[in-house]
Amino acid sequence: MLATLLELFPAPFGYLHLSPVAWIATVILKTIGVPAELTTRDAAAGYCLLDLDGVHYLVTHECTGIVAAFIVTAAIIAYPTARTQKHRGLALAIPAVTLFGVLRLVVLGVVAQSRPEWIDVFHVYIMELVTLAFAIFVFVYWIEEFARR
Amino acid sequence: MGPAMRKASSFLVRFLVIVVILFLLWSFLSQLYLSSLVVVYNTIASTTVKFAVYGGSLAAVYHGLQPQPMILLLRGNDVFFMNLLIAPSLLLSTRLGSLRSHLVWIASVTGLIWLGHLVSLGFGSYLVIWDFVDSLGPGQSQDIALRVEDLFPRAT
Repeated sequence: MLATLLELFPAPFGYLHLSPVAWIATVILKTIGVPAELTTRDAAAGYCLLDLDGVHYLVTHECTGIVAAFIVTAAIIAYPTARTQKHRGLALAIPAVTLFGVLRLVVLGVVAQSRPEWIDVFHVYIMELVTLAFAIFVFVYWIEEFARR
Repeated sequence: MGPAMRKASSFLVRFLVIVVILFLLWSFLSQLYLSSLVVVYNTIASTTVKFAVYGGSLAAVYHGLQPQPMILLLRGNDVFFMNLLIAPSLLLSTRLGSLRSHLVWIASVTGLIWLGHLVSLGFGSYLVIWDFVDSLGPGQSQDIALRVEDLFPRAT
């Protein structure tokens, strides 16, 4: 349902998730010395343009790890526990996974800048698996800390 | 570090170790897996679309659009099969009690995922050809576009 909402209404997700995540990642990239420029003009359409030293990268929702946020949100809502614990879980998981999305973009930016030949492997495989692993970690932590109480 | 964080961290480490091992295995097994899907799909599906593996990539072979079959090479297709790594890694890093439970679960889940991939090949063949036709410019191979609409009708 969350994925369908993203497909049907990309603009709110673009303004509330994609743009801020890509913007914070760009600020961090600049801080660590990566020459990055971000254009958020098309965020409502579901993408931003990240310029890394003259090479343009299309940053889409998928690049920000939003799917992992959907998975952990769905898992928390579906888990049989009290509503208060679910609220706590969402308050913990959504910011955590979103922050991880920032980290993911920073890593991809650094790889794109320093080892462009590795960007596909990192983008398609490694960061996908690591992002999902982090989402599962957050979910397991929530179960152990809150949901079973 | 509290007990909850300790449990979650150890789960994360187990999961990452297992998924890395499976990922390395995957680089050898992906061809075999892809071939198994292609063979079964080509045996049971219609003759309009067949799949083949060319140089490690999946290729959709469309018959009836041109005098010769039209081949579209689908690069990076194995990313769709990554759930084959995730599901067994999740099951192996979860404490289920016995080895037999792990094996039964892994076999069941992998079988279901394989079936899902087989079905997605069928749907994927439609999506790929529509995507190809939509990317054609005005005046570019419009005869192919018309044949596609005829052979692969879109829901209205």
